Amino acid sequence: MLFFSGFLVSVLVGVRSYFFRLTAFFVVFLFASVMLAAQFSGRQPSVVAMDVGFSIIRVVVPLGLFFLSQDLIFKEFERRYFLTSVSYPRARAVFLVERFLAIIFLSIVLLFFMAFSLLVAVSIVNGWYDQSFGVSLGEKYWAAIFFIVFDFVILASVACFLSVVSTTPSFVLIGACGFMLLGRTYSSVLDLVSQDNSVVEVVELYSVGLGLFAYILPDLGSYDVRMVALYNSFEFMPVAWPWLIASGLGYSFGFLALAIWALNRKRFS
Amino acid sequence: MARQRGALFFAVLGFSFFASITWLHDWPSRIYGSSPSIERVVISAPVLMTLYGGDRFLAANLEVIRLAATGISDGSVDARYLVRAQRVVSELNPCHEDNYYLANGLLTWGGAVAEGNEILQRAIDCRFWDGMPGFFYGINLSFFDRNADEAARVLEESAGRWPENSAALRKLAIMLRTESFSDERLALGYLTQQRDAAADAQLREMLDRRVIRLQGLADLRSAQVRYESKHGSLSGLAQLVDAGEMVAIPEDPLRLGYELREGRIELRKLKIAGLEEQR
Repeated sequence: MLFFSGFLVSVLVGVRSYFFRLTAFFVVFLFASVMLAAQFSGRQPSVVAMDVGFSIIRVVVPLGLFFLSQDLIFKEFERRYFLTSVSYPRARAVFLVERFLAIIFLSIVLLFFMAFSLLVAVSIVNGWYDQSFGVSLGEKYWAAIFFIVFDFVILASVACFLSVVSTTPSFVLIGACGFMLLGRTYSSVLDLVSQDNSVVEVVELYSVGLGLFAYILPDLGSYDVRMVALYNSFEFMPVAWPWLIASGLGYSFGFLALAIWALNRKRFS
Repeated sequence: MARQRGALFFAVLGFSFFASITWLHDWPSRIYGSSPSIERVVISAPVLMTLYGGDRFLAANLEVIRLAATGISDGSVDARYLVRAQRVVSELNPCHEDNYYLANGLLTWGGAVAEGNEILQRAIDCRFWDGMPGFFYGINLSFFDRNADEAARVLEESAGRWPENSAALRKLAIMLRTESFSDERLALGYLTQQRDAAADAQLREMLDRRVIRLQGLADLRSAQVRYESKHGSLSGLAQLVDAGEMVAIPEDPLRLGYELREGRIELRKLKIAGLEEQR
């Protein structure tokens, strides 16, 4: 019971700030962008609609997530709310885990709103042109959405850690965005560079350096299995996808533990 | 107050001096020298993907939108830009349907055959459920590269992926192989064998019509040989009937018929304005 009370308080704090307005804005933005982008495609408007929708979701929900972590964790220390919230006879770790779970919960709510909005938009676009191969609006779509959640869990744990250790609010946003960008690009850039010989001279030099990255950063691009929904086939699922989920959860567990360690050592001035 | 006014006055003085020099003096462009070459920039695939935040699908979609909207103007196609841009999109997302469709139309049929075919090849590899890029690729191989064997192979593969059109695609593959025979009797033997081996009823019927057509050609040619040994060179198909070598000109199930061209009896082909003759 004690655990859930802290969780509920965190959710309410997150909602109080601007959550509903943010969700409404993002949903409208997604709907409008998807409908506009689909107009440009001659042969596959539904596929383009869903594709652009997925891209927008993968950019917008992390942004919402970073703002939430900034609000729920960083502002606690900046505005000195910790004088009440951390002063209870409970471990600081529990406080942080509650806030982390609240962030995950609220971002999943945001994700669901956007996923439903995308579903509605793609259904409308489906009526415009009869494609030779349709997109999936059922289980494969939700499988792709489900996979994205693990990307967000990793990003949330990194944002939590940054919120605990940083001294300025912008660093949370910039640091987390930088992590997101690095995690999403390095693996695909490596593939593309080894494919196209004209871009860099010696590919092996880059692959050694970038290969080490694989041990430091998780490959966030591998959680993007949208081709399963776009082309309606489970063939596009990555091999050994349960291991992928497990490694992602392990990484976020590690970062959360790092954040707890940092919080335990933090001296409040 | 007077000191503030004085400083403002000097600021205005300085800026107006700068503006007047800019207005009066014209510095030449440092980078290009005399005249810049108007060449559109196409960013390579890894850099483009990084610019789009690591999202290769977004990069491919927006680049296709850009090239489709800006690559064509007043009916002419900016081929130099499109070749590079569509190649980059194909590297980012080979399964992109708009890209291969536009590549076939704008690049291959616009003059850049090899480049368009390369994009189609990637689409065939990526879209394992789609028979259309294979169909386009097979047509391109047979028409532009005159490579009947490879075209037939690709069309057979597409037929496997596209059940609604598999009979027509297989028929096309078989006819491409048949036409590569120089002797019509060998071609007839091959075609008859294929017709008998056909499992699909629709395919068998299509091949049957073509067997009859080819048989008619073989009969006409043997009649021509007999006629020419007796009467000299042939100048019209009706002469074969008049001389009694044949009872009647064979009927062509495809209703295209036969014609005498440069002393040789050939199958009459559909005349499509703008396309050159194959032979």
